[in-house]
Amino acid sequence: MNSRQRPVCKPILLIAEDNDMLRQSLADLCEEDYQVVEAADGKLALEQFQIHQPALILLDLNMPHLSGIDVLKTLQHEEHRCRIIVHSGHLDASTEQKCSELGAYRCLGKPASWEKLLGAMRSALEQDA
Amino acid sequence: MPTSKLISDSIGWESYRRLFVSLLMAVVVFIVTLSWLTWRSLVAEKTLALHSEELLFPVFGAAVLREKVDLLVSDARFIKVGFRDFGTHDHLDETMTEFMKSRGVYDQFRLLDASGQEQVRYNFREGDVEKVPPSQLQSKRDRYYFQEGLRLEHNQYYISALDLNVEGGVVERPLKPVLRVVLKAGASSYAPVSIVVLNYLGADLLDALKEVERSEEQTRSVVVDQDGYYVMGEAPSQEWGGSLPDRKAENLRLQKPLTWKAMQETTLRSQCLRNEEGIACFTRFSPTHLPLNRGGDVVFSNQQLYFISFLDADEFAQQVLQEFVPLFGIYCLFGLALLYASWKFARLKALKLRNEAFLQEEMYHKEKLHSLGRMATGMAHEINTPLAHISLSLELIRQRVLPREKLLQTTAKAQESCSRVAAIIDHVRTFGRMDEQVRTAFELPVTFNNALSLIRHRLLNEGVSVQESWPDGLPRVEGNPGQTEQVLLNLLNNALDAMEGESNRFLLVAVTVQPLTTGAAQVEMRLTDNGPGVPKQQQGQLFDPFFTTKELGKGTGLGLSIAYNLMREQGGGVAYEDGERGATFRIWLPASEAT
Repeated sequence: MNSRQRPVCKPILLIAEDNDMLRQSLADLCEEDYQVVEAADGKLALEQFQIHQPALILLDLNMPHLSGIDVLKTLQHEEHRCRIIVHSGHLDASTEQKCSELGAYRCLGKPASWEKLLGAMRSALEQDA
Repeated sequence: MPTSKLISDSIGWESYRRLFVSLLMAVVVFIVTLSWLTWRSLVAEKTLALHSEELLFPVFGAAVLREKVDLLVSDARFIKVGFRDFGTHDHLDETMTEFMKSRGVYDQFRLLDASGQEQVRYNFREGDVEKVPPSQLQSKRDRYYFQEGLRLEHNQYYISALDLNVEGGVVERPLKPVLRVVLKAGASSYAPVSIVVLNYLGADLLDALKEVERSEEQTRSVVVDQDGYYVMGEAPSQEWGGSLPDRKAENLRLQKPLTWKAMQETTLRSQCLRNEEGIACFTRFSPTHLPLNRGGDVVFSNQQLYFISFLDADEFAQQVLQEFVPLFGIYCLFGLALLYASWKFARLKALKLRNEAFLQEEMYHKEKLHSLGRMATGMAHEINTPLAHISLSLELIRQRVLPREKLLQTTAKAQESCSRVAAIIDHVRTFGRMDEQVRTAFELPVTFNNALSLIRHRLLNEGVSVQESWPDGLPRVEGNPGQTEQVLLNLLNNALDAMEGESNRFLLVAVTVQPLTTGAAQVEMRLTDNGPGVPKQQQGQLFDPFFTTKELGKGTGLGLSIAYNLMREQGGGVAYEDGERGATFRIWLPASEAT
């Protein structure tokens, strides 16, 4: 796993995305403000979650092994204060509602602009604070 | 879809017209048959009725004649018996005057000697009897009745034919039909042997016959002799053609040859016949058939009389028609009612058919949209992810001053994502052309992967693994790649739908090349899922339009029927194979010969 750890007190962000290139870009953009942890599928995402206890997850829905929905379902049963932002290429009203019910903070359809992504991530943590 | 709407329009109208025409034919045939049967039964009924009515004249007419002949014979006996007592001329004068006056039907009484010379003659004129002066008495030696009289025995009577009276070798005018009674009397004061000739006025008989004839309304009655000449015609001008040369043509034999011939051929005395000339009933009257009530020997002339009632074919048809027309009217009304009903019925049927056709079109359209929707879902994910990557890469370049190496790497990757999007769009264009009737050689694995890429999001989401086995050196296949991809997409989606709720989900894809007996080969692909499979009783309906096992609103039931048609159009096929577990669909396409 390509995790970058810095001594500064940045919040930990878990990027769960199966598209390597997109995940890389997201990591590149987020590394200034967050301590980025990456996962290429749902199963790895859950593992990284356990290890790093991130404050924020950017979660893709369509992933091998375990889908984003399955990840949400698992995390629902866990004790955590993590905010989850769903980032999916195929979002419809019912999926969005399902995600909300499963505890997602916000749903963003791909391709979402950087401003939107950043705004959502910031507001998620601001509310938290 | 304006074209298909036109098709359904014509389907409805065409079937409506065909149904209506067949119903129309049925109604017409029914009416015609009914009319024909009615006509036949009317003709039979009418014929029977006419027979009983027509026979009246022949039977009663003959009876009248018989009665008259009886009277004649009785009078003749009276004369014969009384003749011995007549004695003197004066006595004869007195007796005959009284006799002729009281009877009123005898025109002449004459007494001839053995040489045929008239000895005495009384004429009955306008109710009175006059004795002809001796100077006017003639010889009747050459007349047939004298000759017949000479031949008679003493107890015999001769009754002549009914004929026109001839005076001095000329037919008497106005015409006077007479019947002569001849008898041989014993010696008188005039001669040792006397021939008595009594002229009976035929008018008496004919008047009586006319009386009988008047009781008949529907038919016409005539009396003809053995040569076919009218003794009593429909009009007096027809009568006596045998004696009057200018009336020679008035002959039944000439006027109704068929009826005449039949009358001659039959041995029956009385009969009814029907032929092209109409209906005729007749009784043949020949005096030899006449039994005498009071004995005695009567010699008759050889005259035969036919008492005939007839109705011409035209008149007969007219009469039947009169009864037929109102019935036919009723039938026609009935037929019209039936036609109206069948028109309504046909229209109803046509509307129903059209509605069905519309419904089918609608469903077909819906299935297309359904298929398009599924494809769009697959596409959205496939396109949106690289787009997100491109967008964020641009954002990175905009925000940061990247080292050259990183910049190149980022842009190269963005370009890769662009190519990915372009490839997907290109693929969608192929898919969009699935309606075109293109036949080409194509790589089945490429088409299969294209279809698979469209459901990749489902495979991922639902955790379905796909195990593929492709043989080495797989030939290309003949067909339409767009259509094949649609079929594959449909089968893959069905498999995923069927496996919903199964814990371990996988798809097996096995491709083989099968040599055919024709020498060519076909490529077969078996798609097996591990869902519940298709129950035996539903397997036969799988490819029927509108058959679906999915819940209401989820499937149109057209997917497999369209898949079936699409594969058939390409010269291939699709079939269901019953296996141990799950469902296996086999599709096949001809292998391309140009490798």
